[in-house]
Amino acid sequence: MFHTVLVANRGEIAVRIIRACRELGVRAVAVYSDADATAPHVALADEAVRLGPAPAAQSYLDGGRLIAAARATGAEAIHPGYGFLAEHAGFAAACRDAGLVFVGPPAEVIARLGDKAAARRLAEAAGVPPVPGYDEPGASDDAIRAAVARLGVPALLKAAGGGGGKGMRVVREAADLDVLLASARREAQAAFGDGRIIVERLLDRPRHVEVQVLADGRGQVVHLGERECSIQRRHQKIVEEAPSPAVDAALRERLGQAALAVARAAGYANAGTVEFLLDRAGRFYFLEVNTRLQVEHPVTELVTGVDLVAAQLRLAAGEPLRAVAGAPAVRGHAVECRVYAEDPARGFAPSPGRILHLAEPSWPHVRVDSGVRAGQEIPVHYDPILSKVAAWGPDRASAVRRLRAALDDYAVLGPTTTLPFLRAIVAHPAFAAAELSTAFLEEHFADWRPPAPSAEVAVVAAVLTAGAGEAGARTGWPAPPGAGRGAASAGSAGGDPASADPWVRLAGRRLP
Amino acid sequence: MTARGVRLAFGDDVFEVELLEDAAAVTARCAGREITVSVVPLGGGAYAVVAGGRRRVVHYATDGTTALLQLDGHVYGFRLAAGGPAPPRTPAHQQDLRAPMPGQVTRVYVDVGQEVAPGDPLFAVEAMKMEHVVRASAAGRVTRVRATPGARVDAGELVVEVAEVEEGR
Repeated sequence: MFHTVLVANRGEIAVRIIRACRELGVRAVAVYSDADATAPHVALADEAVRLGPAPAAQSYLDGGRLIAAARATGAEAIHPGYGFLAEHAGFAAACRDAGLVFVGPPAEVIARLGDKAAARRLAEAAGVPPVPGYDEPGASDDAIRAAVARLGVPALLKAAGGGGGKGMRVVREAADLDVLLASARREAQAAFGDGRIIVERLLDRPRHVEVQVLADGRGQVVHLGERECSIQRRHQKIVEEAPSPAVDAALRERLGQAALAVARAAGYANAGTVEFLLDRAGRFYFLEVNTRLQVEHPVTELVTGVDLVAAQLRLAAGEPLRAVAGAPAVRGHAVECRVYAEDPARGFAPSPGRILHLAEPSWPHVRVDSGVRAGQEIPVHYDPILSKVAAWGPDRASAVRRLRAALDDYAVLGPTTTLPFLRAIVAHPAFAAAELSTAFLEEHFADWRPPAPSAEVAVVAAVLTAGAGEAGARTGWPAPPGAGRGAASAGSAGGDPASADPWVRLAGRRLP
Repeated sequence: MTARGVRLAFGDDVFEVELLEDAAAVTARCAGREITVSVVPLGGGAYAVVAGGRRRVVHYATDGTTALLQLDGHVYGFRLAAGGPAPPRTPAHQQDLRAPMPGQVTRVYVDVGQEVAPGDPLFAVEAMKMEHVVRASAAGRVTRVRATPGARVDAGELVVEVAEVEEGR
């Protein structure tokens, strides 16, 4: 095992990786930008290196600075997490050239699977059908027009050279194709320096099902079952679970074998995810391979007991797959939701700012992967994910009940978060019935708005603002020791019951 | 028994709450209703609150200008208004087009004097890898542009002002 690993990320995933290092007895080096100098991942690490100013291009996306930081701290390996440079073949190659182990597959594998057209062809050659489409390299506009005419609408235009929803357009009317194709090419060129576009048939309300694989790069590959991540907004997953309620044992076996065939054909190493779309008739189609740890990896960990981050580090250090993963079996069910600093009432606009109050649930079989603390300023510069909360249960219904209870206990005040939206999703009857598809949010939550406050809500806000109402409580319930207003994070209340001022001074409660 | 008033604003709604506190509890009057409330601080910004006979855990915090609370799974942000009149509302004929989030103005699509139609893009703000385009909500003429591309803006900061064109003109 490595002596020192540099964690080239921030937020909840950096915290997660540093904890895995700690368990393995590995020294963990954090990196940070000026916006993150006091962030939890920095506090948790054994050593921390400043990368540069807040913008990601000058900090977390600067491969040269990351490699220099690894050298300066004696790190032998770099774990990229997800996002930033995690799927950047050039960075993986630069690590290797610098004598550092990149915790992930080799640069050539990242490059091949990162090209969507090449990945589709690789899957097809391995006997795994991709979503029906057209992936001729460098197809002209005329060829794409012909392909859309052949495949029919609705169709999906996708950037061959990248992901994340960039360069992606849905063609609903053939008449719109020229405009959409031009804008997809422009966006793909700007984002990835590659204007190549492929076309896929848009399936009717498919499910997103993906298979976790682990490989040792010496021909040994194992799969850890599937996750379903159908609840998405603009191709951004929001709620994930394992196993998929739509997958039975026979389908799981076929999906698993398909994922292993793709991984073997790619010469895969380390942890990866083979993504599929599952149509209403139970047919599945290859979508793409994510050559990194996924945000939603905890649900697989909860049902298999395999620590995927530890497995990544052990595989990268050269341990054999048999020792790392054994013969994983799935037990029970796990559901996760992602908590973002976004405002669902305003088109999911990012909502950075200071966390004034934070209460995270502590509940049996509930796991919170958090990267924030009370008092922290959530910076404007990065992805707005704050945390993930996942619950395990012996079956889906009990996992969902536990997740609901845990979400009710979760409070973030300051930035607007998606927590109320997540509570509404997991409480929805269609979610309870596992009637999931990638159209779930459009169908059930297109018009979701948080409620306006009632007079009762305003009264509770007024009482707490005035610091009133505790006198009566003292007669009814003895207050716990040390739980006086002075101990509260909101600071002391300005409300003296004997005050003669008819309008309370409202600036009394203030954070330290 | 002491009486106090608290004024809270939510969007365009103003809640005037009168609090009558005695040794037993606080009785609050708001919008014609009378609600009895008692509070036990649980520490760390959480409170056990009995209001209208129901017991709930409420999370509360304030930065001095906004009171934020989570109750029954929803989060509410009230602006604190210590006495005085309610905050002025934007006149109906004027659109104040504000940054929806703190970030950097990436594009300004309009110039002063330009006519805009509903849905026309006015400016774009980028934050957290997302670009948000603010559009005109009604037809009008741009009367002022307060930011240029590259400028940093706070949430709610006025970026473009549009005087609406009257109906029938």
